Amino acid sequence: MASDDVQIIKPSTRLRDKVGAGGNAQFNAKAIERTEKAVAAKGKDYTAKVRKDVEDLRQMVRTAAEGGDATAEQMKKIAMVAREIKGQAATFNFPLLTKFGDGLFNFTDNMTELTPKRVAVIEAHVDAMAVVLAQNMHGDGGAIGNKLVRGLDLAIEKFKQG
Amino acid sequence: MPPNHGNEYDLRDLRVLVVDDSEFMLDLFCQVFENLGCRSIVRAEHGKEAIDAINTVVEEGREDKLFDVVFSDWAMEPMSGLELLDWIRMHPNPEIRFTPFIMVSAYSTLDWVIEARDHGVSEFLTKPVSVKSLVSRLTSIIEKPRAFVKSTSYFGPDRRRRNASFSGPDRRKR
Repeated sequence: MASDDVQIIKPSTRLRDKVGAGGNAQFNAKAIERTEKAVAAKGKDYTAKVRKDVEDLRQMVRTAAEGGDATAEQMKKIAMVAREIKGQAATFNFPLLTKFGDGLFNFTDNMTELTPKRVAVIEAHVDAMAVVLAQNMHGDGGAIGNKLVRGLDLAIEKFKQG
Repeated sequence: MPPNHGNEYDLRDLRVLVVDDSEFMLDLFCQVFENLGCRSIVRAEHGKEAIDAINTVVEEGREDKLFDVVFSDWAMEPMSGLELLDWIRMHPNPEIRFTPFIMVSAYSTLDWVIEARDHGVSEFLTKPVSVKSLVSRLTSIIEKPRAFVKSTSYFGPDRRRRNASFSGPDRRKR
């Protein structure tokens, strides 16, 4: 394509004008602090929600493992819940849940069929999430968190090889 | 004449459209914008609802009330954030077409970021979201708005993040 066909349109300063930023402006530090507190306050609600998500995951795996027409649909749901947990948990200081959600999402995304080994890998992820919640494991979970991560990695490796 | 707000942003007149199919996250993001000082926040549960919200403003003849920022999740049914972005960037009305668009996604690998960029996203925010990361993206669209590029295959913010000066005419009519 000839360069003549490319039009460069100067950026608008409309947004900057609207929020009154005349250079060197920034967000109000107290507003940021207030916002962070509001997010932290939602943490309790999130814990209740994610507990339900993990229970739902367990039930979905059972249903999917029964086979039949429902498997592909259940697998899609499992991947969606895993993706949600991945995307939400660390915001509420559950980085391990985000990590396990990420692993579960990557494992189940676009998966339409289950084998006993696959079920075992999915259940290992769900079990790990359940432990994080049972122990209310915020942050990296320290030594127990490390043990949990290693344990899940070993379980996945074992099921892949077995 | 821009209002004088000292050296801090005043977001009270900023109109934000927040789109997420998770009710929990939708509530959370709306609370975040509210606590940051926004007073005009409209929520939508998926791309189609967001389009309805934009069309409603247009149909009511309140184009001065169109959204200043769209903050949208990517993966939603029946219409995704990417489809919403396409609709906005292809809209005949420049008041809509140039709207800053922040895409939020749990898909964090580079190919997803590149796909969003190639559809004309202004900023990309990977979940999980922190207040600081959200504020950082907002600061970028306020302080460093990029020139728009219109070619036969692309319309959106310049995909090269550079600060080249431009002395040509401002074709954007807002």
